[in-house]
Amino acid sequence: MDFLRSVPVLSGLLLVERNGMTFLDALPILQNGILAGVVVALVSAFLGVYVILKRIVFVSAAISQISSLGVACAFLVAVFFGHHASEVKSQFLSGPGLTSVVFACVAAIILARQVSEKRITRESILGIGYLLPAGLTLLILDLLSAEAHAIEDILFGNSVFVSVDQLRVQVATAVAVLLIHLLLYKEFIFTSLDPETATACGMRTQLFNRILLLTIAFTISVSIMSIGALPVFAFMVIPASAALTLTERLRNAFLLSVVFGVSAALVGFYLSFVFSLPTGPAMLTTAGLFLIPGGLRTLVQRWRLG
Amino acid sequence: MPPLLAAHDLSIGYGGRPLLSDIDLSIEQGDWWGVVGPNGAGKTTLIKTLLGIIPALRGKIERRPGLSFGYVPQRGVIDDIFPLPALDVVVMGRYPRIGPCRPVTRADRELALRYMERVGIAHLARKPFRSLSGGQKQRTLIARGLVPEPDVLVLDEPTDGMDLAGETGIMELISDLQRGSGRTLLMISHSLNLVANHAKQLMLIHGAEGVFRTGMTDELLNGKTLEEIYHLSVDVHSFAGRRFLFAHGSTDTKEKA
Repeated sequence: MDFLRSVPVLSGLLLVERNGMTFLDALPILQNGILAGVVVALVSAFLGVYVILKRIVFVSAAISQISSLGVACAFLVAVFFGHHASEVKSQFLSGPGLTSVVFACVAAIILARQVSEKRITRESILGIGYLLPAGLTLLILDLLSAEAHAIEDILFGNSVFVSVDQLRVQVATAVAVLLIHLLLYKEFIFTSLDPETATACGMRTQLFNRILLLTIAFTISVSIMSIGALPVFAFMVIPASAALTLTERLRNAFLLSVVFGVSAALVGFYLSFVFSLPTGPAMLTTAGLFLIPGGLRTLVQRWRLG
Repeated sequence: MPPLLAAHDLSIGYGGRPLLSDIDLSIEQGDWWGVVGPNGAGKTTLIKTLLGIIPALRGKIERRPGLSFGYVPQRGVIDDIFPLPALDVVVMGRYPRIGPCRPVTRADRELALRYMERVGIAHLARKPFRSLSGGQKQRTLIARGLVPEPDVLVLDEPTDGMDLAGETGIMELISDLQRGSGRTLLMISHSLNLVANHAKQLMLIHGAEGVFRTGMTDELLNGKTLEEIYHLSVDVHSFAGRRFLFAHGSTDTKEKA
């Protein structure tokens, strides 16, 4: 800590005071939240490259809503059997956490299927997959008005105070997901770029597509309980979009996306402390700043082409 | 010796709806098949079924054990959103051979580069695939189809949307590749004139009419067969060793008149 205080610019930033407490003093209280935000940003920004490349942005939106419905359903069933919200919340990993993951993974498997029906488009299915769970979750929240606060706490996350257990689950999820992606990178890229050729050449395209979507679903369902649905969705979309406008190399896009995501999480968290802003929206807005270089690059390229 | 690939009493289509039934065919080592028919006739559906991309509705497909395919899709299938150099796209052809959890080796990249050289685009290896011209993209995809060194190379409309120079260049390349390797080739095309001068065997398809004919190009290319499939009066002429097909108008219209 003394070393941090001795670095000129850094000490200036860390010693900014809010409500009688410097950021440095608040670090021990905030560290789980900061770590959770960084881990979520890292893994979401990495997966986000696939989300953008496969053009499945609304798949991730639908999965996050269905995952939220899983949390609400766990409370509904528990309250129906006479349990109190605080009990359900204390058994988080075997209750709402589990239902959230199960709902998200089932949704991912269903959404991985190709739609061959001509009268209903994939976009319509995704729209329904987003709207119906959102409506049902709101109805359950209304029904369980006494428990609504406990449910909302899980649904929308609390980026500031994250329990050690939740942080452990978050880190374990990130490690497992990144390991799967490290091992199956070639397969995920080929089956995402050109699924038909991959199948024709003997690859198990459907299996790899399912595994990829399951890693996304698992990450979303665990992450929204740490920092909330909106920032997770933002980390899945914004850093990858910014990175893909800046490079012609896929590996660089993954790297840039992760750097943008993690930076947005750290800077957003810091700004939320300094200016007393809600943490999730602060991180989201900071991530948005990374879109500027890519936007400028596109404008310059268009201007050069006349 | 059993054929490389054979279909018996095959029924093809989507969503349980048959497009074409009672298909029997046999493909041998070194064959050069042109798969021809009007738009929407079921050419791509047939090939995708033979390749296992979509399931057969009925019947049986027999593949010689260990049979491998190289597939060259229509170049529009590749989404330009992917920031990949041309070489990376070609190396993907090796992925099924490498297998999951194993890295791409230097030998794989060198092989990919060799095939890029073979199709005349080695100098474009580091260029982004999305910045290439239509012909260059097509050559990249052909190199990717060749890089697993497959027994059968399947090409889906490789000259679609190309100008005369591009079309001629691609067809010469495909014929060269076939002559040089003795590899089995299947090429889908809606252009009968194009296929007539390169393919040794033809599959003529018209799903809506329930027509499926296979045979040697010389035997199938006659006015009567083509009229049956296209409902057009077609003359087939030979000049300087090349075939030229001329259509004279719809026979349906003439009948109505």
